[in-house]
Amino acid sequence: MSYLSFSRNLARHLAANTGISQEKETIITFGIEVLVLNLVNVLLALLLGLLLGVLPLTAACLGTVALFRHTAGGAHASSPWRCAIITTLIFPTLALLATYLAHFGYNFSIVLSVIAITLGLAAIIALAPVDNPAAPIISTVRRKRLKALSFIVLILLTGIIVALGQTGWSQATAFRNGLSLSILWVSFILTKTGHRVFTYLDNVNFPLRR
Amino acid sequence: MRKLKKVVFMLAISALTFLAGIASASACIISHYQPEVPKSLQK
Repeated sequence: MSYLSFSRNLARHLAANTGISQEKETIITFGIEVLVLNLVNVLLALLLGLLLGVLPLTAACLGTVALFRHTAGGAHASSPWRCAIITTLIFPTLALLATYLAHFGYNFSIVLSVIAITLGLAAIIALAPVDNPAAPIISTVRRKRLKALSFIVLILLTGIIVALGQTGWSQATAFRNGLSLSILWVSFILTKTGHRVFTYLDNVNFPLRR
Repeated sequence: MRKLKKVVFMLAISALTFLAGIASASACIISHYQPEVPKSLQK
């Protein structure tokens, strides 16, 4: 098992003070890694969203992607540092794009929502759940359950998009665009092309200048 | 004091085990990196 040194050191410290088994230590190492990486990534994305003036929309995009990816899965970066860069950049970018697209008006927003929901549905039917070698989905029962839950999540998101259209809220169009773009993003990273993009990003080298 | 420290550590371990269980049950979490799921949690 390859985990970051801080996760291993913290888990070792907890294990040494409580006398838990080696197996349990591996589980809590995984738990620490999940907690810290996601917390850091979310905070960095929200911070960038705050700096760009799109914090609420960044949070909405984060929530939508989290909900959808939780059941549908998708492509991943090979290292936590590349992941941090992608996660930090993608959510404020989606929020900025959603805000910009709101200038095209209500009808454009409806068309975007219909396209996103249709592609999301197609991606779920054809691909979800997409697992990862680091977290394989072994059980067929679990696979079916995750697919069914992906449908439920998409129905829930569709409900929110429709409800936003019924409110007279001035930001409703931007938020509906944000939710639609988030669905499109998750649908994209379920595909082989999405995986190829992540493989490409994994192979990008960042030369250090002295 | 030592007893309290052990209780806090046990609570932390319980919370982390719970979180690991949730993370392993989902297809993935928010971020775009997947830490390796321990064999005992793979299903």
